[in-house]
Amino acid sequence: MAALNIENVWKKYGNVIALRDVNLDIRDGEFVVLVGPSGCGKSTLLSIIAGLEDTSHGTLTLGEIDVTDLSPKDRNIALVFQSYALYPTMTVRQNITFGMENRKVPKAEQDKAVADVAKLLQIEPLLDRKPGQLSGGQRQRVAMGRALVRDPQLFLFDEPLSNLDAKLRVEMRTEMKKLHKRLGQTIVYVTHDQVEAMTLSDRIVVINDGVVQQFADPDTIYQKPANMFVAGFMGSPSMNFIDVEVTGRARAITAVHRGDGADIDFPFGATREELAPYIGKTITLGVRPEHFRPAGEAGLTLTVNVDVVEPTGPDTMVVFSVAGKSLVGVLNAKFRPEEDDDVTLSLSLDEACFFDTEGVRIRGLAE
Amino acid sequence: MTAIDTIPNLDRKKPLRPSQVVGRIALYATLIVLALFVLMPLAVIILNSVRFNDDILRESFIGWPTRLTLENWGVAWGEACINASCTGVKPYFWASILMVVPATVISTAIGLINGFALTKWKMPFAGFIFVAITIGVFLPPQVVLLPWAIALGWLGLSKSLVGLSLVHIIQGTCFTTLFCRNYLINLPDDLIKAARIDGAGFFRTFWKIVVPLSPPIIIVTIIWQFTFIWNEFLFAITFSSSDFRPITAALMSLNANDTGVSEYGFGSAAVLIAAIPPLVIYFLGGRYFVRGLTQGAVK
Ligand SMILES: Nc1ncnc2c1ncn2[C@@H]1O[C@H](COP(=O)(O)OP(=O)(O)OP(=O)(O)O)[C@@H](O)[C@H]1O
Ligand SMILES: [Mg+2]
Repeated sequence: MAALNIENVWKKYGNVIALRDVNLDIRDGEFVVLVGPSGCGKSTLLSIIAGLEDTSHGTLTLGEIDVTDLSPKDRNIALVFQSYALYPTMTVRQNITFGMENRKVPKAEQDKAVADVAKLLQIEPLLDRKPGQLSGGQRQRVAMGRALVRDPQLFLFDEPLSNLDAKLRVEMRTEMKKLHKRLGQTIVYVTHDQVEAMTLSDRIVVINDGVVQQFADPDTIYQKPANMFVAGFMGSPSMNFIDVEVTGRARAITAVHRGDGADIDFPFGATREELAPYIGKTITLGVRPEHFRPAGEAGLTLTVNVDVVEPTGPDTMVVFSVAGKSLVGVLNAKFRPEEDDDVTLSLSLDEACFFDTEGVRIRGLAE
Repeated sequence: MTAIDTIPNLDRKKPLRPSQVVGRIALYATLIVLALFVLMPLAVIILNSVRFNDDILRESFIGWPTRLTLENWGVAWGEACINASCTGVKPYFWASILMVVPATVISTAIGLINGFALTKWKMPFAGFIFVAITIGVFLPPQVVLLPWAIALGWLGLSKSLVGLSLVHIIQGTCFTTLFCRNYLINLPDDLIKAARIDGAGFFRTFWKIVVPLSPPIIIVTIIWQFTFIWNEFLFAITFSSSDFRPITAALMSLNANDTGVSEYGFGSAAVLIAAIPPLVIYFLGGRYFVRGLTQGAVK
C-alpha cells in the first residue's frame, strides 16, 4: 500500500495534448475513481501511472519513491484491463503465475499465492481452463486474480466491469467494494459509469479534455460541482441549466429567466447572499431533475406543459416546458401525466447551483 | 413457460431463383474448364512417368500408357546422368533439402521477430524500416543478382551451400516480415502491455505470448518460403557448382545425356520427384491451419 502523488503531469502524443497539468494527491488506501467522457485522457493517465507510457512533463511519486522513470515491472503496481488481456494460450493458473515466474518467485510460494487468490475469488474450479472457455464474469475474476497475486502497492483498473451485463456488473461492483474493504489497497479506477463512480469511490476525479475539473468526494461532486461541466456530466439525466438574470437587492434576490412570452421568477430572498455581486448580470441556474416534486410539496410552484413521459420503473422521467424552456424532471413512479397535459410541479431551490459566465460555480459565503 | 416438444425440420434452404441457377451452372462450368487447363500438364507428366520411353517416342507425348512401369522412377532417383555423373537426382534432392529447411526456418523466425518488433515494441522509425524491408518483395531478382554475386565473393561463399542459403534467407526475410507484420499488427496491444507489467522482456514476451499465438502465420510463412526456395531457379543456377547444386538447377542438365535421345520417361519422374516436397509440406501444413487462436484474449 502506498500513497500516489501526481504532480504537473502532461502528456503529448504527436501534436495532441492528452493530459494538461494533472495534479492529484491520492492517499494511502484510498479508492479513487477517474470519470470523464470518451477520449478525455483517463486511460492515458492510467498508462502513465502504470509506466506503460512516459510523461511528457511532471513527476509521479509512489510511497516515498519517485517512479517517473521506472519501468512498469519496477513500480509494484497491477493493472486490470478493460479487455482483461488474459493470455489466450495459457491456462488460468499460468495466467496468474506468469508474473511470478518472471520475477523468479519460488514454485512453492507461487502455488500458495495461486491457491489463496483462487479461493478469495472463487475461481478454484477454473484453474486449468483456458480463457476462451470462461464466461465474461469468470474472465473478469481471473484478470483480478492476476492483479491480486502481485500484492501490489497500487491497483489500477481500466473500466473493468464495462464488458459485463447489467446484473453481473452490479454484483461485481459490490464484490469490488468488499475486496477493497478487506485488502485496503490504494486503487485508481477508471469508469464512465457514474453509478460505479458514486458508489465505489472515496474520491472522484472528473476529467475533461485532459484537464482535471474536480477532485473531491462523491457528495461534493454531486452537490457542489466545481463547474458546469462537472454538474452536467455527473447525474443522469443531466442537471437542467437555466439562464437567469439576478434582480432585486442584497437580501431580497430573485433570479429571473426571460422566457418566450413569459418570465419565470426564482425567488431566493436572503438565502443566497453570494449572488449580491451578480445583481443585474446574467448567470446560469442549475437544478437537478430530482429537485422537481409533485405539486403540494415545499418549493416554487410551476405550471408546466408535458412533452414526453418515460417511466423507468422506480421513477418517472418527464420532459416538459415552461415559458419555452425545455426541462427534465425525475419524479415518483406514481406520477404519470399524459403528454401535452398542463401540470403543476413544485421545485425545491435549496440545492440549486449557480454558475458564472465562465461556467464556474459561484460558491456560497459559508464555503 | 411452455415446453416445446416437437422440433420442425431445421434444414430448410432458401430456394434459388432461376437466374441464380443459371449463374451457378455458368460458374461451375468455368471453374471446371480452368481446373482442367491447370491439371492437364500435370496429368501428362504423371502418365509419362509410368510409360516406357519407347512407347512415348513411338506413340505420342500425350497419351494413355499401354504398358505400366515404375522403372523410370528408379532411374530418375539413382541412375540418370547429369553433367556426366550418373547418380540420378538423389544427391541434388538432398542438397536442396539441406538448403531449404534451414533457410525456411531461419527466414521465418527472423520475419516473426521483425513483425513483433515493428508492430508491438514501439521501435523508432518502425514505419520506415518496414517499407525499406518490404521493397525487397517488389524488386525483380535479376536486379539483385550481380550485387549478390559480388557480396558472396567478398564473403568467400560463392557457389556454396551456405552462400545460396544466405541469399534465400535474406531475400525471404522481405516476404516473411511482410506476412508476420500484417498478422501481428492485429494482436491485441493489451496483451503485450499486460506482459510488460508482469515483468516480461522482449524475448520472453515473444516466446511466451507471441509465438504461441502465431501458428497460423508461421505455417503460412513456412509453406510459402519452403515452396519458393525449393522451386527457385535463377539464384540456384547462378550460385551453384558441381560441389553444390540444388535439384531445380540439376534438372536442367538431366536430359542432355550421351545418346542424345530424349528420355521423357525418367525425365517426367525426375520432375515429379522434385515437385513432391512442396506438396508434402502443403498437405501437412494445411491440416494444422488453426483459426481463432486469439479467442478469449480480448472480449
Ligand atoms: N497512442 C496514442 N497516440 C496518439 N494519440 C493517442 C494515443 N493514445 C491516446 N491518444 C489520444 O489521447 C486522448 C485520450 O485518450 P484516452 O485513451 O486516454 O481516452 P479515454 O479517456 O480512456 O477514453 P475512453 O473512455 O474512450 O477509453 C484521445 O484524444 C486519444 O485519441
Ligand atoms: Mg480508455
